Amino acid sequence: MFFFTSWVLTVALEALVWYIILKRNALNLVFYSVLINSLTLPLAQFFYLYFLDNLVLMEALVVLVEVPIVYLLLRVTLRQALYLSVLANLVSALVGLIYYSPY
Amino acid sequence: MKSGNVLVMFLVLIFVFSLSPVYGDVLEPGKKNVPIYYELENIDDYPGYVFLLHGNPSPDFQILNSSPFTFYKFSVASIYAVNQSQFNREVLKSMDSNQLDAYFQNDSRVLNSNLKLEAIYDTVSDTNPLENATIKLKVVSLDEDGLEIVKDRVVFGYHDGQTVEESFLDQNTTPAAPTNQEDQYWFYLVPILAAVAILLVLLYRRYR
Repeated sequence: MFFFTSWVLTVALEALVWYIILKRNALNLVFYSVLINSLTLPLAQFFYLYFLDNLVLMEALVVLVEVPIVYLLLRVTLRQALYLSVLANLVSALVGLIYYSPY
Repeated sequence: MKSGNVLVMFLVLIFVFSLSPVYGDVLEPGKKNVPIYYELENIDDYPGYVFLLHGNPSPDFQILNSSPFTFYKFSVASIYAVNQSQFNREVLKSMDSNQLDAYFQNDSRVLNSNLKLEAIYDTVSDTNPLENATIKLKVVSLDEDGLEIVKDRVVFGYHDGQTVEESFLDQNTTPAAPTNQEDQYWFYLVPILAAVAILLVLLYRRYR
C-alpha cells in the first residue's frame, strides 16, 4: 500500500508541476507522468531501501535518469527538461516527506 | 541562467544536502532497527541442564527456555549451560556484575557455547517491509567437555505477516533478507513494463 500511495502522489504532483509550467493537455501530461514514474519510482525505492541509503543522492539520480526521458516524451529542450525534472522531483520529495512524516 | 550553471548549482546542492549529520547511538530519523530474536529449538532435549544468557552490558543472566528471546540492542551476549544439580538461581541473583562476569568466564561448572549473539540484524529505512529476524539455534553437543550450538536458519518477518526462511551456509554470515513477492513485482516488473511502454510511445511517434 505504501508503494501504491507514493506512486499516485508522485504521478499527480509531477503532472501538476508540468501542467503549471507548460500549460499543455493535462491528460497527456498525466499519461507521461505515469510512464516516467512507473520506471523511476520503483527503481529509486529499491536502491534507496537496499543500496543507496541517501534521499538527496537518490533524488539526484532520479533527475539524471528522468531528464532525457522528459526531453524525449514531452518534446521540450534539454534545459527545460532539467528544470521540469528538478522542480517536479523537489515538489514530490518535499510533499512525500511531509506526508510520511511521523509528526 | 545558462543550463550549465543550473547543473553546477544542482550538483553543489546535492553535495551539501547529502552530507549526513552524525546521530551517535540515537536512531537517525527515517530509520528503524530490525531486531534479532533467537530460539534454541532443541533445548528440551537437554532436561538435565539449565541454559543461561549472559551479555555485556546486559542481561546479567537470563534463564532460557524454548521461547524466542532477544536482549538490549547494544549488547553482545552468549549462551551458557550449567548442570541442573550445580545451578542455584539465588546465588546468581546475589552476585554483582563483576562476580557474574567472573562466574561465566572462569567457573568450571559453566559450559560456554562461544557463540557471540547480537541483538540487531540491521538498521534500515522505516519504509523497509522487513520487521524482524529470528535465528533458530540448535544444540549440537553438550557434555562435561563443552557446549556446541550452531545457527541453523533464520526466519525473516515482514510487515504484512509473511515470513521467509533461509539456511545458514556459513556460521559467521547471516543470510541476506530477500524481498517479498509483492515487492518484487513492484521493483522489477513495473519498471520493465514502463520502459517498454516509453519505447513504444517513442517508436510510434517516429514511424507514424
